[in-house]
Amino acid sequence: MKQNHKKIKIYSEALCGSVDTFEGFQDIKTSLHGLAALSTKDLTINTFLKSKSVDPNQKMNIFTEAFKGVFNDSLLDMLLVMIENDDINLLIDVNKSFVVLAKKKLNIAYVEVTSSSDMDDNARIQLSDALSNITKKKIDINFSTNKNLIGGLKIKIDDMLFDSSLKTKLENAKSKLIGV
Amino acid sequence: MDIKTNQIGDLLRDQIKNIDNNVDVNEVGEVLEIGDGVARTSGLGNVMSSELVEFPNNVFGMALNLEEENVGVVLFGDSSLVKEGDIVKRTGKVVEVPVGKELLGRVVSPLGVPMDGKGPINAKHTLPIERKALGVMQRFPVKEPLQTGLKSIDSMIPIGRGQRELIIGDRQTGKSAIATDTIINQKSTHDGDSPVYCVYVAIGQKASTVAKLVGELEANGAMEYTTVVVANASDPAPLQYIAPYSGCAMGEYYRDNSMHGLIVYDDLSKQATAYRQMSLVLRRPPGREAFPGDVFYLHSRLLERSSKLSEDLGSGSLTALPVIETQEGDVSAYIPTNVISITDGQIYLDTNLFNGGVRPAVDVGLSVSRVGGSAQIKAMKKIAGKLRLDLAQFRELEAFAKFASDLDEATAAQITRGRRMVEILKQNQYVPMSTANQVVIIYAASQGYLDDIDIESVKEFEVGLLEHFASKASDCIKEIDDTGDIGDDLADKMNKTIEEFKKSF
Repeated sequence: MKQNHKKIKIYSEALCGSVDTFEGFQDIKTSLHGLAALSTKDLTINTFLKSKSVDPNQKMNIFTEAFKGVFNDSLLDMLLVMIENDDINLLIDVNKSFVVLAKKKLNIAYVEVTSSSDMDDNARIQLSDALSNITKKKIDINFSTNKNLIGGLKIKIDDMLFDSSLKTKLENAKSKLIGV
Repeated sequence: MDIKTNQIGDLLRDQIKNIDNNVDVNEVGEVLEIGDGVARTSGLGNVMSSELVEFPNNVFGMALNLEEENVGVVLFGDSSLVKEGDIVKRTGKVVEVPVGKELLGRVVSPLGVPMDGKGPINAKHTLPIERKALGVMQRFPVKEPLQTGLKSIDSMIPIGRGQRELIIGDRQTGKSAIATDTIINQKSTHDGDSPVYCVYVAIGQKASTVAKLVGELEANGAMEYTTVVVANASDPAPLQYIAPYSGCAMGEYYRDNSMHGLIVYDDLSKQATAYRQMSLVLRRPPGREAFPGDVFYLHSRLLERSSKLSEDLGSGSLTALPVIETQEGDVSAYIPTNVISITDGQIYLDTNLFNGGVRPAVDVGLSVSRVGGSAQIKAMKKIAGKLRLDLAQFRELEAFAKFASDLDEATAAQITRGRRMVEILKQNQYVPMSTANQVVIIYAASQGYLDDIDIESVKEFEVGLLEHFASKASDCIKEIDDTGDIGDDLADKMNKTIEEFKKSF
C-alpha cells in the first residue's frame, strides 16, 4: 500500500513536470481519463495491459503502435515505463494525483456547474470568464444538468460549494419556518 | 375564534420576508468510501479535529482522522443513508451540546437531541463537548461532603464535592444502584442553599434498562434536578464514545456558574469498547487488549474536568462517579487499572458479598476515598474511625473463628460487634438515609448498644430507634444537622435516648 503510494507520487510528479500550459494539462488529463475508461470498459485491453504472460517488451511495442500520435510523447513515454514496471493498474490514482499537482502548479481551479436546465454556449462562456476573473485562476470547468434543482445554479469551485438553487432555498425556508 | 385568510397570508408573508435569501456557501468534500460507521472523504482541506460535518439525509459525523490525502469521519447516524460520491459539508463548529437548567428533567441523546417526546429544548447556552480541564490554580481542595445517603459509603468512603470516585465491580453487583441512590439522595440538597444538579450518562445499556431507571428517578422525584444522556447499546459506537463528554459539558455548566453538579458515567468500560471499535475501523494501531494507544487519555481528559473551583471562579463543583465493570473480579485488567489510577478512590463491590445478602455489597477493605475525612462532617468523622476499626478487627477474627470452637470473651465480643456493624450497614435500594440518621444508628452500634440485640432484630431495632429519635429526640437530630458535631452534652442525650428506647424494644 505504502509502496504504491510512493510510486503514484513519482509518476504523477514526473507527469506534472512535463506540463507547462493549461492546454497541455487538459490534454494529459483527458488522455489519461480516456485510457482509464477504455481499459475499464474493454476487457480485452484490460487483460492485455495487466497480463503477466505477455512479454513486457512486446506489450510496449503493441502499445506504442496503437497510441503513437494519439497521446503526446511525454505521456506515452511514461505509460511505457508504467507498463515495463507492471504498474499500469495505478493509472486512475496517478491521474487523480496528477490533477491535484498540476492544478497547484498551473494555478487552475476545478469548477463544476450544475443547473436545472441546459445552459447555452454563450451563457457558459460568460460564466466561465466571470469565474476566472473572480478566482484569478484558469478554470477547468464542467457543466451538468439536474432537474431536481428546480431553478438556479450550484457551482463547486475546488472545495467550495456555492448553492443558489431553488431547491436548497426552499429547503432552508422550510426548516426555518418549522424551526427545525 | 375568527381567523381571516388574509391575516394568515400576511403572517406567512412576514415570516418569508425574514428568511435569509443569500447563496449557501460551504466548504465541501466527497465521500470516497463508507462502511462500519466510518467515512473516508476527500476535500475538507480546512476541517478541524472533532468538527461536526453534514452528510446528505441529515446524517452528521465528526472529523477525527485528519490525514494528508483524506479525512476519516465517524458517523452519528445511519451509515446506510450515505453512499460513495456524496457531498459532505463542513459546519465550522466542533461538536457542541445545549447546556443549562432547561435540560433538567429531560432525556437526551449525546448530541443534545431530546429523546423523551417532551418537545424541543430551548436552551440558551451551548458548550463544546471537548473542553480543556482546569489547571491547578483554578481549583480548590475538596472539602464539602457529597452525601450518597448510603451508610457504608458516607461513613467509611466519604465523597467530596469535586471528587472523582470510581464505582467498580462485576456485573450484577449493584454499581448502578449506588449511583442512582446517590442521585436520589441529592433531593434533600434542593431544600438548602447549595443544591446538587445531576447528570446520568448511560452508555451502551439496553433501552429498557434506561427506561426503568428514568421511571425510578421520576417516581422518587429525582428527575426534577437530573438530565439523562443516553447512548444505547444499539446506537453507533461514535455516539457511545462522545456520550460522557456531552454529559460532562452539561455538568460543567453548573460548575462554572457557581453551582454544584454530580455526573455518573455508567459505564466507562463500554465507552472504551466503543472507542476501540471506532479506532480499529479508523485503522489506528491497536495496543494492549486491542485498545488504541490513547485509551488512557480517553478517560483522563474526561475525569480531569471534574473539579472543585476556587473562590475566584465561584466555588462551583462537579463530582464524578465513573462506573467500571470488571470481569470475574479482575481489577488488574487494562481499563480498570487505568481508571483506578485516574480517580480519587474507588468503591469496590464484591459478588460474594452481594450474593451473601450484604447490599450495597461494598468491600470495605478494597474501597478507599483518597479525599478522606476532609469531606465528612465532624460527627461522622468521630464515629467512622471506630466503625472502620471494628470492621477491620471483625474481618481478621472472623477467619479464625471459623476454625476455633472455643473463643475467649474479648474475641467473641469483637465478632458480635462486627456482625452487628455489618448488619446496620445493609441498606435497601432507593432508600437513602439522612446524615443525622446515619450518625445516630452508627453511633448506637459503635457504643455497643446493639451487642445484645439478635442479628435478625437489628434491622427492626434500627427502624424503631430512628422513629424514636424522630418523635422523642428530634432536637438531637436537629443539633447534628446544625452543628455537624457530637459534643459531650449531645452524646449524653443520645445515650439516654438510646437506653430509653432499648427498654421499650
